[in-house]
Amino acid sequence: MRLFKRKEKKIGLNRAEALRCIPVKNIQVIEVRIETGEVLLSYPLHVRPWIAGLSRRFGVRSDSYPTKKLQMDVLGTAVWDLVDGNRSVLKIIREFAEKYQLHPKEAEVSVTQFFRELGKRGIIGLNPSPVD
Amino acid sequence: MQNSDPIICRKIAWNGICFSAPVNWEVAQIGKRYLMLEDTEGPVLEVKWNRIKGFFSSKAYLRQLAAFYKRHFKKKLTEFPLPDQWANMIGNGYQARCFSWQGKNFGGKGIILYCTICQNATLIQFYHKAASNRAYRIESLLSSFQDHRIDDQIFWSIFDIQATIPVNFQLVRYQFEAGKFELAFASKGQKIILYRWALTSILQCEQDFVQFAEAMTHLPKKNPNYRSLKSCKGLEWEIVSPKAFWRRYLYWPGEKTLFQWVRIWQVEEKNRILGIRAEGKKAFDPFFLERICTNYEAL
Repeated sequence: MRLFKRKEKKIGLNRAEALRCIPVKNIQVIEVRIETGEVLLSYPLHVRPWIAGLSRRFGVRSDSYPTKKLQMDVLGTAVWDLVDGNRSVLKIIREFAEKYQLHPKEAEVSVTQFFRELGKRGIIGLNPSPVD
Repeated sequence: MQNSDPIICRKIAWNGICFSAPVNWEVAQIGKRYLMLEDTEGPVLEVKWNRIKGFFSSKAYLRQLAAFYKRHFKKKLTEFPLPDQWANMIGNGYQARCFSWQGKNFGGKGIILYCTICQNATLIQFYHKAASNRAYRIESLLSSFQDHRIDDQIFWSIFDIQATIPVNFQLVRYQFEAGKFELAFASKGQKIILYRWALTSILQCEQDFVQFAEAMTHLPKKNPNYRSLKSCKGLEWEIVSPKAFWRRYLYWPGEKTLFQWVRIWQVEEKNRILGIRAEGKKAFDPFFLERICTNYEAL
């Protein structure tokens, strides 16, 4: 048995698979529409498990964790509105590009970057769709 | 079996080379003399080129490439004779050497082209894997491939912009960000910068056209008057600094260039704003600038 076996590289999603994924909103996120039509999101702060465990011991309830707010601009709101749990990333990119007359590559870069940012904050998750 | 549907192609022209590629192939990576195109399945085409000073041996280059493939990808590169069909497509001015390689999941075919007229060496590699790629063959690319022009101009067509710039203006900087493209060219103390902004409708809600132009094209703080364009919604500035050093320093501190010219206009049907900035130690010929403006467009 090899003690110091080299870790095998994790193979992530390729581009085609990533574009086929369906973004899904976190049910804990509260969505408020402000007067300008833009969306204000309130989402629970992601707490590391050991901090959560420690705070439980000190009697802090799990539902009393602080929440953060995120206000989206016009474009962010447009993409957010397209996330309905049925549309794939590719479909959202296409619809966004069409709406704002963007170059497909340009739309892809901005939308995927936006989803990555939302994913880091735990606001959305990606559901791998079945292969057509 | 080949796909019988006709493939819609568009021109891609970057830093001296020009070819047609299917519209669903997007530029994924870009360098000064490098292009990588991909479709939804992954990379499909790679083009690399350079001007050669002196003697070029395609045989030696292929040997180097084979060693590189063996070392890094553990793949064997096999040379094969230039097919007649390919030879007809590329014409007489080229020396060509063909090769292929086969990997676990996908393989590739490539060609090294050396143009004896402009001394440009180009490496073109096709990646074969998806069935959709089969209809567009290397012959289609070779038939449209161009690495020099008869006139002293270079044609640029990338993403959704196209322009024609004189050959003496070399690309010094490029930037492709979502919403903002910038290409800068320089020649003997003269500089031309092409701008392109998308999402005009949203930009205009936030600030007015003059403010936008001033902020984006870095006009001097002591802003001179601008004039509106007659043909479309646009503005133009021309700033000529005083020639005397002390006056220049007094009125334009920090400005190194004596002549600055900026034109910015809106392409409403495409939801774009295009801009050109020219700067140099002496004034540009107005016809020269007009020609660049005419040839610069959003696709």
